[in-house]
Amino acid sequence: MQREVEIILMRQLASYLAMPIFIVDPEGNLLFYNEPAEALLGCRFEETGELPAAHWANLFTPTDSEGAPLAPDDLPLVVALRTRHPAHRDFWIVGLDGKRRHLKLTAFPLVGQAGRFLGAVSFFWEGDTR
Amino acid sequence: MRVKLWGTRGSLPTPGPDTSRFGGNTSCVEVRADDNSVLVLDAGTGIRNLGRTIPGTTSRVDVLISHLHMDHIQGMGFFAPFYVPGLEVHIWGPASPLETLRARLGRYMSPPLFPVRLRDLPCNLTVHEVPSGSMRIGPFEVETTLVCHPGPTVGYRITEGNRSLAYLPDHEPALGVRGPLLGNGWTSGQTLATDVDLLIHDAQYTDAQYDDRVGWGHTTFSRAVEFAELARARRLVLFHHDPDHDDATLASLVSTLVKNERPAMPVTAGFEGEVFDL
Amino acid sequence: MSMKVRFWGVRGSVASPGPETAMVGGNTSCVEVVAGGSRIILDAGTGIRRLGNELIKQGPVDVTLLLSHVHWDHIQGLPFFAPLYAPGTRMHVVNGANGASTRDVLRRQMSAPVFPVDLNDVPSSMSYLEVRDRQRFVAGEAEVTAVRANHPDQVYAYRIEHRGSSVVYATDTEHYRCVDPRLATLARNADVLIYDAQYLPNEYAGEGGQSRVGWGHSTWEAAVELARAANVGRLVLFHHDPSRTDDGVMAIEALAQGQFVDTVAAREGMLLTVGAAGAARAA
Repeated sequence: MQREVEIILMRQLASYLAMPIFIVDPEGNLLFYNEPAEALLGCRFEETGELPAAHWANLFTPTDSEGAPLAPDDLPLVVALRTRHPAHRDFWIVGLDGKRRHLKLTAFPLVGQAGRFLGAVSFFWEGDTR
Repeated sequence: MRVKLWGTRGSLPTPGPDTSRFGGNTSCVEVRADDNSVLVLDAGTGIRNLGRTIPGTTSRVDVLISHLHMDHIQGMGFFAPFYVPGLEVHIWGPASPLETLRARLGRYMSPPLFPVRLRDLPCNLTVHEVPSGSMRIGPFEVETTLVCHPGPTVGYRITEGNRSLAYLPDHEPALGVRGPLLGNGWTSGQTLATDVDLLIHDAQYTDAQYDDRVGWGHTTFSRAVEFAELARARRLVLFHHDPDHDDATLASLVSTLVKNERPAMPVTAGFEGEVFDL
Repeated sequence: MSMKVRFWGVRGSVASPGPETAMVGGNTSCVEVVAGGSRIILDAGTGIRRLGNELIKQGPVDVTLLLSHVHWDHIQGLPFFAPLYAPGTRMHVVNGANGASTRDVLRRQMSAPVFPVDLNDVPSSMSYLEVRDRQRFVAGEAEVTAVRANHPDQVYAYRIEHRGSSVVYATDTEHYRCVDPRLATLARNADVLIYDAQYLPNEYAGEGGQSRVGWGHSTWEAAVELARAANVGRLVLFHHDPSRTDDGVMAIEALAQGQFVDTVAAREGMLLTVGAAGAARAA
């Protein structure tokens, strides 16, 4: 299946950037994640390839600052897909190394030529570790 | 289906004795169906000579523009069928987020840059923004996809019966790719060119030239071959020759390419006047 | 002292590569004039690419570009003029005032979607002068006079003078029924007159086809009449029709020479030395 050129260019950009980036299609299937994102997910894109929405969402469990799990509908990527507006929030995960990490996540919808809705992208920044 | 190259040069026409073999006119390709229907791919300066061969009895001409860089539209004002009263002419090209295709063409084809405006042409002109996906023009099935090149740019796949042609004159499938071109549809234009009988593809740069021109929207000789192999094209015609590559340079670049890469299909540099009967 | 005039593009309307035009050349309008230590370029058709490739080898470029007008065939080579991308280049662009800013018009062909590099982003230093009818101005060591000519969109002809030598460049102008008195005055006693001779007289009149009256171009006959009326030294036929083969241009040259001996059809690469030393002027 031919990927849209906007998605291809987004992947190529992501593959050069040093912050974790996820790219999903309009249904939330994970099309691509870059090397810094591999460290968050604990798997390598080369091994998993594309991941269905239901599968990759379970790979880590984000919580709020008090440790309560976030409802999937509150995750910025899900909000960006549903509302087609950018979304941002802080959350906490337990990393593969067992450490609790504070992450800031911005997700935005990808709208291509002729207004085609192509999916969404999320960028992660590390917050203060505590 | 019969395909004829009327302009093979990229960027700027390069008249002169040292380019006369491969030709100096900018991009223009004629596609003729068995029933004589004509599609014109791009309107570089090559379109002027093509226009002179279209008989007065023709009832319809379709011009498919890949994108609006100068070398792909600069022949438009010199295309004789535009000046035939009542002749049905259709221009197809990529949409852009802000302006209509007609308005963007009109920026270039209007005073003070050119004396005749699109709306003053006596032919019966319709301008269409190509949809992504497939459409039918007479006997041709035309598939279009946005491809990697600065500004909205489409590639075309033309099918008539069981014969097919892919036209990607300005295309940088290797932008941002460090290793081999990616499969599974992750390379721009791949599906468009899959299993085509004839692939006409950008090959403007040598590897050394490309190093300084990443992101300019063009391909190297070796990446063009790699792309053709990825798409399993049956024949590759290198196109959009650099203005600085004279006949001798181009011939030697292509023979070195074929020797080094041992492509899986016939690979040649397209020359003006070349005809392919598919 | 003398001026040197080199022809880099002699074709009109649209570049016409191919074996039938290889001898005369298929590049669109571009003429280089060297006056002492100053360099002037007349029009920026496709011929300017090769001129630029030569100039860039010779160190920093400082040129005056005189545009007859801004139809495609007179500006389309500019984005491919290598010195434009060199920070040390100084380019003074002169164009006839026509209501639109020259910079804006040039940017229409040097900005998205038609060209990937925006004129605003080039590193060379560019200045613009919009001239009016009969305006005189200085271009380095040369003095230039601009005069309006006859063309659908405003066109200017230029007379370049340097220490007693003179070259007149009048392309994309139409003669209609008589010698244009403004051009006759501009070209009075000039050493060289470069003039639009795109059509054969019968093509212009529309014999056996469409008339070209009102299209803004001229004929070799009108060129000869103007050359005689202005008493010029040498006539250069210029802006050849894109359909004119090498043989066709040679035939026109021969016809014109029959009526004005010191006539030559412009060819790409041709070099004229004008003035005292070169004696371009007919004896």
